[in-house]
Amino acid sequence: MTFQLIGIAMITAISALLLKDSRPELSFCISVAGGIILLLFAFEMFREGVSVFEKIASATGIKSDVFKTLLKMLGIGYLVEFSAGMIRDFGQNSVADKLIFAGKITLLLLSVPILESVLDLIYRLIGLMS
Amino acid sequence: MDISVIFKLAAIGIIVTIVCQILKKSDRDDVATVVSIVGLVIVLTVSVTMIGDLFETVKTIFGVY
Repeated sequence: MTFQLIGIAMITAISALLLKDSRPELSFCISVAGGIILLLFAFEMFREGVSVFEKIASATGIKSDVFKTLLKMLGIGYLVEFSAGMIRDFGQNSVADKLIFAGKITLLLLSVPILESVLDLIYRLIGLMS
Repeated sequence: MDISVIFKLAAIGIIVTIVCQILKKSDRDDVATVVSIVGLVIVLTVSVTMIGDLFETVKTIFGVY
């Protein structure tokens, strides 16, 4: 499986290089397409892993929406990372950094409810002890 | 979703480059620019649909809304 991924990455790099000098905009599109194919392979592999994580999460008894937010944060992280890399390919480094900064802010916003559930758990524990 | 898409895109790029060279040599520069724009549009539509597929799969797997 990994050799397949390596092969795809090599082919994308070579074909992007092929068109770099004569048609730079087409080589960007080829690198984007290759990156997407790699990511789709990775997500297919990840799809089986998600069910295992869900079983573990339900076994440990944490609330299912906490696990859903975790998965959502993972997805947002992947998406922002992928598009920032693509924008960096196009040569706009500052735009990529701003996108990563905005992605971090959205992740921060997503983690607020989890923080609240941890805090009220602690209050309940303190209430029990005192 | 396999490697054939990359080969198709590379083939379109090479064909567009060759056709533009030929048209430039026979001094029909306006047709050359039109051909390069058409090639660019085809490649862009293919990559945009692939980006759409990627966002769709991410939405289904991670539940990102």
